[in-house]
Amino acid sequence: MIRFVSLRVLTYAILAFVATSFAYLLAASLMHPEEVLYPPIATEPLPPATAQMYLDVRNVNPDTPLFERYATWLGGLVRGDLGVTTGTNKSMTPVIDELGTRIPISLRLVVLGTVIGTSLGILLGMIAAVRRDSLGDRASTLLAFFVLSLPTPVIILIVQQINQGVMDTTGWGLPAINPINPLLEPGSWESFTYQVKALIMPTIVLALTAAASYSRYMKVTTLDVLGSDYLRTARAKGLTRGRAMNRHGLRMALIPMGQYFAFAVGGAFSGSLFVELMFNWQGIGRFAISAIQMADVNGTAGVVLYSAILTLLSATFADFLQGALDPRIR
Amino acid sequence: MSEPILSVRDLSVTFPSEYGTVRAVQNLSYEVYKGEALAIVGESGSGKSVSSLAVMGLLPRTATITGEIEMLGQKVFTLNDRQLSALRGNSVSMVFQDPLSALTPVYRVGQQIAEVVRIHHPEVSVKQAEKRAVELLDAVGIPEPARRSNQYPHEYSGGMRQRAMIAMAIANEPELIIADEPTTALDVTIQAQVMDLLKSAQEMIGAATVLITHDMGVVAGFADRVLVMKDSRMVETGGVDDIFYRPQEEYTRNLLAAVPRVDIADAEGSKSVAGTAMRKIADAVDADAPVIPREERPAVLEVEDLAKVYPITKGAIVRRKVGEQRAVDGISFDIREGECLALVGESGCGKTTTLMEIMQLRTPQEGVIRIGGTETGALTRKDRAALRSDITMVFQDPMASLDPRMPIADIIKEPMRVQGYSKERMDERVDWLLKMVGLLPEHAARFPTEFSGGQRQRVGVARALACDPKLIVLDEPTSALDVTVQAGVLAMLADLRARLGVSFLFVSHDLSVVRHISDRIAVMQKGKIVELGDTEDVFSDPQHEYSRELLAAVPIPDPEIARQRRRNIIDRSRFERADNTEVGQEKTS
Amino acid sequence: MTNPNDIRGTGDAAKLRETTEPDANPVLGSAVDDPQLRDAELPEDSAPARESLGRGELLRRRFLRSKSAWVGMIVFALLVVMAIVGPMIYQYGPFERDLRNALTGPSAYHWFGVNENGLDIFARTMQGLRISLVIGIGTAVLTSFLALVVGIVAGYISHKGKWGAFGDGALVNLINLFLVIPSILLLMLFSPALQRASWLWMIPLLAGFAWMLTARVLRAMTQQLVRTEYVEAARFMGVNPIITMTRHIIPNIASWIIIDTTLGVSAAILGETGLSFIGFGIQYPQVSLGTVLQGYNISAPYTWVPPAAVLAALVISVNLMGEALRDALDPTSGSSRL
Repeated sequence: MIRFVSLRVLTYAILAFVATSFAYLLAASLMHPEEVLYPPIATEPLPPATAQMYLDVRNVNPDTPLFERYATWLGGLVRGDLGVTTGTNKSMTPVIDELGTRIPISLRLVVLGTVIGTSLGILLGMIAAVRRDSLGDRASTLLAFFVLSLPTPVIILIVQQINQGVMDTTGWGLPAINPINPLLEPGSWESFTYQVKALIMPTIVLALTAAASYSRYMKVTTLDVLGSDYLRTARAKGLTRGRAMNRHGLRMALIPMGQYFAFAVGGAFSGSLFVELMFNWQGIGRFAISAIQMADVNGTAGVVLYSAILTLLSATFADFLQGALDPRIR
Repeated sequence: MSEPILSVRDLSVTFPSEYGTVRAVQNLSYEVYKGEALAIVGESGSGKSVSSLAVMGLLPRTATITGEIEMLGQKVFTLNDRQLSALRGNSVSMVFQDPLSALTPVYRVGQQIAEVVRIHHPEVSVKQAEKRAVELLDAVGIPEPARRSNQYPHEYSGGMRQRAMIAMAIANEPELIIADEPTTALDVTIQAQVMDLLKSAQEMIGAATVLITHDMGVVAGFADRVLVMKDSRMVETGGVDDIFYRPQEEYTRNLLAAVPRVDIADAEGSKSVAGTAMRKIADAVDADAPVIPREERPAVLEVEDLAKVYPITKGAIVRRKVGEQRAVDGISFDIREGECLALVGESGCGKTTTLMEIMQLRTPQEGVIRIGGTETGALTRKDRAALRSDITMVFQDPMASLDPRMPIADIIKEPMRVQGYSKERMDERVDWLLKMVGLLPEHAARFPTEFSGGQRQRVGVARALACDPKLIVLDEPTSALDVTVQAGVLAMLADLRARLGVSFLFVSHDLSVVRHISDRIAVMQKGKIVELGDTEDVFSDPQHEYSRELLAAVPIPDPEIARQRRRNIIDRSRFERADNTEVGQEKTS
Repeated sequence: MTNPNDIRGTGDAAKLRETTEPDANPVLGSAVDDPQLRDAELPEDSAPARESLGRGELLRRRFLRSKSAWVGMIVFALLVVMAIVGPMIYQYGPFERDLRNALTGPSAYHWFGVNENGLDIFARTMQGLRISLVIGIGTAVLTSFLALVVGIVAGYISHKGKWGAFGDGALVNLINLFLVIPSILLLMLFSPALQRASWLWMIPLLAGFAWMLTARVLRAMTQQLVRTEYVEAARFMGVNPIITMTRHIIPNIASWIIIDTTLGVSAAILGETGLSFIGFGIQYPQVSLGTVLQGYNISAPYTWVPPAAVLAALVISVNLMGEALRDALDPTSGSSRL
């Protein structure tokens, strides 16, 4: 079991490394930070020597060969240094610090959304399969179908519009534009409740999409399990329909779910991009968008590294779960 | 006689389907009394399994059931799921066909057996129940039961899984055991052991048994009464001797006649359809020309010291060899023109590996393969392609060996297209081939799914014959077919051999099948050929212990002989380490 | 694109079982077969019993019987007609500004209203619908093609000795690599550079990050098919591997590919919309449904409801057709034993 998981972790780590390197090389060759560094509206051009120093210190000088820049970046990566942000501002914030302040904001969204979404999806999918063709099955299948047919921005718009409608009629609603109210004293009870309230709508959006796709997967695997021989054996032993499903069916149906878990986290990451943009959260997604817009090579590579590690961790967790559930792969 | 334990009256089951309502069981009535063994016999699709699932209340909800089932004085259809569950596993238990899929893969075998005890006796502690599970495993003959009970189903062999299923079925000493094709997925020697075990388990706890099977041979040694089903209806029912010696219905007679008999040679006048058909053919051919002695005929296929070794590796990143598995371990045989050699052995003995090595037409790992005198290793690419028409193959499963998306004409043309036949010649040959295998040329445009299993196997044979091969390799060609169908296909094969003079390499796990068709038999065990000789010699005087074991294990559709054999086995078990030869001798005498 | 809204793959390779034996029924076994269909003892009688219903015919009948298939086809056809005719007859273009009527609701002149920049929403929606349709269909076809090539090659060579297994392993790792990369980030990286050339670059770009899951399923299916006896038979007859792939393997997974392509259309549309919405998709002088949505104003629902509704109608109609196809292919899915 440990061998199995550690081997998988090694594979994922290599894949994550290759993916990040790939992203860095792409970003470094496709982006032109020097164009952003010289805003055309600057009154007088910078002296060439200063400009070179500017670019060199940020490791984005287009005159330096690509692989040399990559080697420098790699050297920094080994030391835990991801370089500094580039772009229009000259502050040179280390990418790692920027990520450090933003990750907690994004992560609570992604983790909460995935966990609530997958558990809800598993529950709904199983109920839909066991009570096939019942009202609940039809309703949840239809709902999942519609949620999956809408792009995330539209779902967010619908949720926000409903909130707006409630706010207009009752005068009470959830905060829609900020995760933290800057007017409230940090650490106070009001600040905390505000944060919780601000978390509700984004979490609903992410959980909804995750639950919709998960309930579909779960329904298919549960139906497979319901047709299996061992469930019939369990019933022949004297277990009632419900107990046979709980004791023998559920665990078997959960095994294939593990594989999809990694994708659920990946999906939550791209989902969080829209959520952060539209709810105005200063998280990783927001950072990713602005980094790419501002040709920030180091920032982009940092975001890719973060998402690769996120996928790696969730894939490992999924493998671990699968190994725990299924003795055959241990 | 006392009150019946189970009485089924006028049972009908229907399912809705794409093609309208399917009547799976119609107007079935029977009774089972205490301690009695009833066998329900029928071919696939006769409704035998559905009727027993109805008794257990385990049919899917889409099924419509009418009639009445009374079990232990309770009317099954009036009970709800909870009440039925109290009966299932406690007073009535079931042994299913495929023990691999019937055990939950993620629980230990011991846990699964303990579970059935705890469901009906919640007062028993988990520890006690697991102890009971170990005892039960011991009782059904699992070696090292304490260790084995901690293993998962995938670590068990097929026979052991079925033993565990039986342990589960007898755990609560039920009044009635329903066994649904309990040995179909097992090897013949294992099958004999499992049937013996089931019989003694039944006698031990005094339970009534319903055995559902397609195999008349199994029935003869097991049942007290027999019920024959065909196409969802009962054909006839009666005592086991009545059914076997005095069958009333035509269908029962056909069914009995179609079973290949391992114990009766041609000369004694086998009643079997295949035997009769083949004798007729043999007579006709014999009259024509004097047979050339075997030694003077040229060899079609020669295999010398063939071996195939699979390394067993360990380690995921750096693979190191920790051992090897000799799947085929130095076998030699040859097939002469017009001859049929049967390669017989149980699953995992290396038959299939041997076939694959021959069919590859490449240099084998070890040893030499010669086809028509040329070594396969020395072939050029062009020669090899040409040789593909000389040596062809018929596969086991007629469902899987024909591409479902191709009309059968295209399937049969495929090898000819590779050999570059002209279009006219191919069309001509397709007609001829279809006639040859007993199909109509008009069927050429149909797709495989429109044919039955036996017909599909005929198409497979036609494809093998397409380019006038010298040798046809038959890999268990009849094991996926019903007995009556099997007899027809065997007769056709024998007929083709006589008419076309083609040689066969006939691979089978079943000795009774090859008796009538083969000239020589090679018995294979663990990668080695343990005995090779003329068919009659092997049957009448088997030299190797394993051949004797195999012969002894084949069920014989004759209650008298089966009872005799069973007595012998019991006698034998009474005396520790009784001489093994006894069984073999009584068989052949 | 590891899109959470991608509804493909829910059936996965498990469905292959049903693909190869369409009538498999776990309880009845072959009881479904008509009694006459079973072989006679001797070969004289060989009349096949079931009326000669070809597989394609059966699929077509099941598909046309499904109500959702009809709804999907009608809605989709209407949308296509709207996309073609709409911009022709409408008086405003997608970039014509009518600033005097900025942020006004639907009227006789501006059917869906005007946004805050004075742009007519109906004109933009119809133009966006055109682009979405082209991108959706183009991407789906290209994705399936890529997946087919990678999946079948990997599945086919995986059994061919040491080198085959190595090649298969390399392709599988390539698939995994593309799955690990957050594709949305790379799309954001590439898209602006390629958009300068032509908006049609969106098609290969989206396809380049969408083929992996399909390829994985196709690889698994091919592996199963390669192990079947009829492919083995073809090998023993000396049939060339390429011919084996095109004659035996592709026809047997064709129906699955058609379904996957259909559902891929909706996945591609959703992907493009999302990308355009955050400003990395279709750029000026073209307009996509995503860019129309971008101009939303939460206090004026008519700014985003029409494009969202058209988008939803499009995706739902495509998904309805795809699901009906899947149901037609696999009517027995999950026949329960309980």
